[in-house]
Amino acid sequence: MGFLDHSTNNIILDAVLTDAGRRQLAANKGDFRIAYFSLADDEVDYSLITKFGRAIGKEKISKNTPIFEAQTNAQIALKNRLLSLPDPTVTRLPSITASVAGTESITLSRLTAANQEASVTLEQTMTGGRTIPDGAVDSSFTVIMPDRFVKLPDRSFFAIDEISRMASYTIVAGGQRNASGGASTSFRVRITSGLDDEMFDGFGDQGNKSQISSVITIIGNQTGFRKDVQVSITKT
Amino acid sequence: MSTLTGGSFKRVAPSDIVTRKSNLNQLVDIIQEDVSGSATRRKYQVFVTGGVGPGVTSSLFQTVYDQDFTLQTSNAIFDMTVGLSSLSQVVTSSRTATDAATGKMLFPSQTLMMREKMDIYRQYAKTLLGNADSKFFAPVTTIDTSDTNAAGDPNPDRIDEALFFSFRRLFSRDKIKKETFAMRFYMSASEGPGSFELDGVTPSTSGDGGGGLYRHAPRHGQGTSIDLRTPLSSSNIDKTSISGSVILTDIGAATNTTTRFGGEVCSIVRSDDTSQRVGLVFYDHGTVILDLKKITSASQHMSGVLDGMSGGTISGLGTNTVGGYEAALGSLPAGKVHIGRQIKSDHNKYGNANAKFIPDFLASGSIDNIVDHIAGSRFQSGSLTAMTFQNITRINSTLIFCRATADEFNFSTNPTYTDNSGDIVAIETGTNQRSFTFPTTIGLHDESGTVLAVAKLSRPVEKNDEKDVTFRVRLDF
Repeated sequence: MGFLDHSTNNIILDAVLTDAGRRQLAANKGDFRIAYFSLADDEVDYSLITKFGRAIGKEKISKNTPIFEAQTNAQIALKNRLLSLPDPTVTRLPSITASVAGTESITLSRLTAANQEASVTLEQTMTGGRTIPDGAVDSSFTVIMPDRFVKLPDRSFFAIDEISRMASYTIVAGGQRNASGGASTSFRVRITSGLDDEMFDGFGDQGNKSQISSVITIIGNQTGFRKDVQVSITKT
Repeated sequence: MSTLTGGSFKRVAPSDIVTRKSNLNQLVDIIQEDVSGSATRRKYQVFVTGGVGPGVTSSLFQTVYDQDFTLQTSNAIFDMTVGLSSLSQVVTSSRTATDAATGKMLFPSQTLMMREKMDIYRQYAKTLLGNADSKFFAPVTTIDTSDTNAAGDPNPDRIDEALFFSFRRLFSRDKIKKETFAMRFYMSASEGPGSFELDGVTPSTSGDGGGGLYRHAPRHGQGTSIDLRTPLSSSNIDKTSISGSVILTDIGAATNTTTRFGGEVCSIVRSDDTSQRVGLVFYDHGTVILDLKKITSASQHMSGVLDGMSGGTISGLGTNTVGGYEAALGSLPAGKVHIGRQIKSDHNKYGNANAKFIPDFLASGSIDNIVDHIAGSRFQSGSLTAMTFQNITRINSTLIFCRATADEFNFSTNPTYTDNSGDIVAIETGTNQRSFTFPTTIGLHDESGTVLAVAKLSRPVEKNDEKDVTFRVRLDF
């Protein structure tokens, strides 16, 4: 994707249908129905505010941030959503943590049955013992993972990209809350059956074909907070 | 996604979605060398004869591309072909019989593809006039009217010998815009040896050395000296025209357009005399029909080599002399015939020395021969504009108004929005400052949260609790 022309004072909107939108149009089932909108600020670097102060930082963001053209891949078109909170004075926001036995990455091994699966603990946390503000608590999460390598056992994905094979699952947090008042739940990740040597040859890491490295993305369905978790699968 | 009731989505009210229709115009400019060049003009040789000699292969139409058509990046601009009405002089003067049972017309072997040329005409008539038996008339007001005028002569408005241009959808889009079509066309063929010989000169058969050979030119020392030692391949059929260009245009279409079976249609006129209506343009269909009788010097002598039903090599053509010159040099291979020059071999005479564009050339040439001549010679081969028009693309737009009120979308999930402890970096500690964001992207979602469309702003726009913003996203279909 290239950058949009920002040399004029006019603000131009570059709008495209995503692959999912085109697929729904092609399906001709009347699914193409716009119900919600969301805003995102993927290109913006707010650390400019810290570096230059509020006034100049804002100006630098506004004038010195080139914007990429719209992306047609629905899964990566919109990464950092903006959020509406009922309390306008909120000064701290939660984050999502995903860990396996205290480690923020997932390591699976094809060889031993015990290591073919891992339980991931997922929760929203606030530092400093604060409580998560109203409106920033998620009740469900979308987990996107490479279906070729891993899956969620006993669950069905609600969408999958036919080419990249990225599958999307919904994890419902329910009413369970942690000490910060954030959502807390867990799910299991398992190596996809049929992950054979040929797959390692084809998708293995450069320089180490006995390991496949990938990423599992977790997105809060209500807030849009997201967390990328590294997953490594070893052949032996 | 189970529910979207959270703070990063806002429902779009039905009243915030409106549909509009608009038109987009594009200027299409076709340069001469694209039409004339053999590399940019593609042939589809699907017509094959049997019978005498190697036979003849020809296209039913040719396609003009914007660059070498063998390249994957080339785009087809238009198709061109020729057609003859059943009332054309070309047909009536050459037809030998009509099968009473089937209606099939029979033609002599000196003609080529006569039935195919008529079928092309009928196909266009069927598509554009609604009846394959109908004839095209220019001006358009007399479309499908009587075949003869009050005196019983052929209706001069009737297009009997038609040149068809069908513009590809990539360029004509939804339709051609009225009053924008224009083309530069050379009415006369190049004045090659053949055409010069008969220009105002009564053909003579004397002084040919005793063979009854047609004398092509003034004798040496009498009048203009002409070198008759030109090989047979030299002709005005494959020479680029150098003069006699006219501009043909649809000027006046804004007030003279009629709607017929094939959609809106208007006459094409000569720009130097708009009373001369020389063709039709069907705007919706993207088709231009020109009357060859009016846009060419129909009685001009034509000379050259054509595909034909010839079984063997015609050779020994250089052995006879005319007025001290060799009559012609070279030989014709099997499958080729000559038009516009009578040649002699072993005291036999071949060819029609008096061949004209209409009817002889149109009757004797294959569709490829005729299209090759028109495209290769009558448009010149420079970088000037050969044809131009504007197209119309009808755009159906959905406008979605995304309204963010003052208290909405003032926080971000951007990782740079907070520091390591989760504090919002845009707010200085201990102050009453309010948060702000800089949206750059708008996502449009369905009920399940799937992103159906994405819009990007050309620059970030500040959003804070003192500002409400409405983004108007337009999706074109």
